Amino acid sequence: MTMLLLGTSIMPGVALGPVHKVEHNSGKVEYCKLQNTGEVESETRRLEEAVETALAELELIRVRFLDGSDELAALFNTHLLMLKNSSMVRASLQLIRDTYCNAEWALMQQRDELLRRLDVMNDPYLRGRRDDVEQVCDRVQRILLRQPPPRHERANANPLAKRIILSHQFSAADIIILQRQGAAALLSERGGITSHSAILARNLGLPMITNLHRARHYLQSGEFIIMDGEQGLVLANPNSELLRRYRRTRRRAGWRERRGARMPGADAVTLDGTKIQLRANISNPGDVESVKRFGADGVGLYRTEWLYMNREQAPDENEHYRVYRQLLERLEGRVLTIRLAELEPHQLPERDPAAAPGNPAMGLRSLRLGLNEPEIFAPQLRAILRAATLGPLRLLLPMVTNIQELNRFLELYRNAADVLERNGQLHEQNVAMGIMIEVPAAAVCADLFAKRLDFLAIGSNDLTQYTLAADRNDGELSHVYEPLHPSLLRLIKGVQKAAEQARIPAYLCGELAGEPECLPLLIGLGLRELSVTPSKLPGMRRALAKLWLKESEQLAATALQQETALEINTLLRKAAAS
Amino acid sequence: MNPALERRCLLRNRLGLHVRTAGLLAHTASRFQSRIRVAHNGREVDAEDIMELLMLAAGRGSTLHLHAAGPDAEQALESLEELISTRFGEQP
Repeated sequence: MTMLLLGTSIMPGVALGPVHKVEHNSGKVEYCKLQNTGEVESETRRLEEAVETALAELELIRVRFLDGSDELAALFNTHLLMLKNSSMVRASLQLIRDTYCNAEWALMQQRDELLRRLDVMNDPYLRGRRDDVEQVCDRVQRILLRQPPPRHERANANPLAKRIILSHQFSAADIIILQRQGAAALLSERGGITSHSAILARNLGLPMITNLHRARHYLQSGEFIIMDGEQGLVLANPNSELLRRYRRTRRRAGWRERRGARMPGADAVTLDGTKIQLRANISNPGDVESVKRFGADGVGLYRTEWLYMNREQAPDENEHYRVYRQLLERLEGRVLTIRLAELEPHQLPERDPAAAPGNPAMGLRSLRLGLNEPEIFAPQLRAILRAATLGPLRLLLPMVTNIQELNRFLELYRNAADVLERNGQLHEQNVAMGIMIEVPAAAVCADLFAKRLDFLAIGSNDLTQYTLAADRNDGELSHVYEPLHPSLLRLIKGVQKAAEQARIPAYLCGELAGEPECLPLLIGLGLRELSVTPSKLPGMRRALAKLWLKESEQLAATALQQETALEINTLLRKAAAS
Repeated sequence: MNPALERRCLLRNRLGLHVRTAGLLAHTASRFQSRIRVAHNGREVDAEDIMELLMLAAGRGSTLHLHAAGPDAEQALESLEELISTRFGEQP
């Protein structure tokens, strides 16, 4: 009988093939009392040898999988340093000598101690280093327990090609290695959809599903399965009908991808001919390649805060300008929507990173910060005004809450234009301007904003978390964080209406738009423009091609009458299945 | 007897002592024979130990006290001060 496992989609794509389970430390660490100094002597030597072996393993991975330019090389160097000359090892050795305990026990005590100390630190960056400590310690522990390295780290060539890899959790390094070994897809039992490894899998185009509870218990290595990264489901022991269907899907996907590559920018049209504009959300200038590959109608959201990360000084006007110019050139006439840097004070270069506020989501950040300290936005604004002479560029303001903010921003805008005017620099006076609708206050008053602007962009992720007062990264609140809560449908509907009355476009950028099941709802609510991660576009185009506008409008009307997100979900699922 | 020397340095790079900078500091310290200690906020650790350096949680704007004792203490402190004052080579 076919068995179905449900998880959360990280990266769409279909894979059929044998499972490979990544082995984990199965041995439990036991306490063992040493009897004499001779045993202490040999136990310390055993730990030292295990550390040497761990170092050799890491060195081998570095040589085999990382070229010098690789960012991961830095991570590996850290791991090497943690083992080479550090208290982690020295303190464990001392613990063996002082308390006559075994090496495994000493290492575990030291690891837990370090994790405890990291957990209470104020600096979110240092707290994030607990993964490094865990990974390094687990490696030594595994060697002490005489277990071999996981197979993907071993030397023989491509043993994992075309396999579907199943692990409790993947580290960033695991994902790189597995991708280079030709793995077909990844399945994990745990891991957030915004985690570092999820982002990496998406960038590498590896189909991936997470939150598959106890999958290692249900699936065996070598077992043939189907993984559907789009639906977030795994089918074990599939019957011949399912196999036929998925093989066909995969063939067509390949065909569609090749065709998509030949016809980038093919319009997304519903069955009755309504044109839907599909745009891309990007964070880095390099993402522009996938904008073209997946045929997006330009960029609906460029998150410029990444320009500020990991550096000593904020980028100056010319650096901003160069990046925007290059992007516009590579977009070849497609629109570029630049969102002003959405930063928190501690993320700015030259600020104390320890000064992170208690609740950053609700604090002095983003546009609020930029209005408070106009010199933060000034160089970026001037660069945007200059770049707007080169191609279709739109300016997007994040986190607007009230009209005064918009008025104050317009002053900054005029100042920037004045400076450029005085310096005789070529610039555009009237850049198309819009705001993100992500604070419920702005959604409710969308009509007031729409009168003054050229477009509205609904940021559904933040709008959801602010409306429902639930952090979307908090797993414990996933029952409260409901993107399809009736309140959100009403807010989206209201914003769309306000935009329509002001004769400006409103579009939605957020994960909601990338869900094929939600498309009839969004189209039915009146939206004609959506902006998503580029890799979602082919699936959306396919789903849109099956929609009738009339039916979608009826579906949206029915959805607006429901009382709970569950009912709305069910309604959408039924509609998608029919 | 070699002299024990002391110096204060202000961390001016973006993240303070984080993984990369702590690594550089430990690596630099390991090139000298002298015993080098780093103190911050009343805690003193071995300068060659990346884990302990991280545990100092010395953010941007913190002052580090460097102590060195040994035959090349002077050169060691010179090198470390140079490293810290040039913001660990972080690009502006």
